[in-house]
Amino acid sequence: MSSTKYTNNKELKEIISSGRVSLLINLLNGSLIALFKDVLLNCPGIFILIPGFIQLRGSVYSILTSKISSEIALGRIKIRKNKLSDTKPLIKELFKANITSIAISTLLGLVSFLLLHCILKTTYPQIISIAIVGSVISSITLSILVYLFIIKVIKKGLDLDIISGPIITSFSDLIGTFCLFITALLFTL
Amino acid sequence: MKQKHSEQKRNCKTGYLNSFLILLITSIVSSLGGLSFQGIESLIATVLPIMIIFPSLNDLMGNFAIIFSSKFTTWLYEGKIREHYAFDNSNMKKLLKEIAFAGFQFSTIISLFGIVIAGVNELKFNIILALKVFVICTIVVQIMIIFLFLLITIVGMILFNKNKSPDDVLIPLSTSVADFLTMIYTTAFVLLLFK
Repeated sequence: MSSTKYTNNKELKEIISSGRVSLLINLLNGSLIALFKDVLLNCPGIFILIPGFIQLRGSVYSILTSKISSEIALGRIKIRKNKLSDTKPLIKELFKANITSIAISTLLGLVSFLLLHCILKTTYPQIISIAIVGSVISSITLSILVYLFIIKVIKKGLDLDIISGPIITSFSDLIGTFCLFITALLFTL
Repeated sequence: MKQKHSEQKRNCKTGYLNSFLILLITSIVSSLGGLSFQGIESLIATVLPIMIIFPSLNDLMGNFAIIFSSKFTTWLYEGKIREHYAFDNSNMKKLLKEIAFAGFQFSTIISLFGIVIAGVNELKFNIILALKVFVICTIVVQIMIIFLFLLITIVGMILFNKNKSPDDVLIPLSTSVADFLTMIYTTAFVLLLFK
């Protein structure tokens, strides 16, 4: 079948266009990994930690945005004239998301340590600390950015579900990776 | 109505607690894939384009897994997919072809960008390396698309026949399996072509 026939297809166009932004951000993410190549070699277990760490941040922040838009729909978070009437519920949701993220990252650090120790016969307990510290740093950074982003989206009257999901998850990948590498760099110095 | 509303509120409140276990499991499954990379860390570090493209590859396969899963469950509930004929279904076949084509386009773009970024970073260009990266990227993507198609169709039909909702299971299952297997296949091909 010819490629023209496929590119005329609406579904295929949607698949391709939806993937473009995240593709670009993920290439930046990959470049970041390549930039920190030495950290990868000097920090055993980081290769094990990265995929789960990235996956976790994406999932937690996609749950967060869908929860916030549900809370707005249910009236628990109120909007007046494109402004949040009370920012406390949003801060509370961000806090819950970050606690979940830090708790799972700690367990993930422990799993990385055990896998490294039992399967690859390398003992590097610092990987647990890297997971915790990296998670705390990225959670603080992302909380500020996500908070500002949500306020901006609401102010502009845009649909939180459609706009924020892909953008927040892709950026959380990038910032999560960056914070993890900075932490690993500090531990390997 | 009021009861439904309070039920929805309760669901919102317990959201993170409900998803804690699934978040933990999917993160661990993804990290298990990283174990294969850790095993060949020094080899992977020498193939810079692979390091650059691996988050994009993982994300791409995750996106395809979500598209396959959500389309499959929608068609299942709409009655467009019938039992025993899921593999032979025209909608599924069309979707498979479209995703395979999109996968080819994306794998070409990803490998091209990976090669260019690595070339700029290392200030050198190697045509053999570029071809190997393109081959790995394209083959891994196409194998994974076929695997995801089979996994989602089989697991989705089993769950549907047992009167369980495939929606709750298919997306987290397929995305974490996609993450895991993409890294395993990439490692296998890197070992095959670079060692």
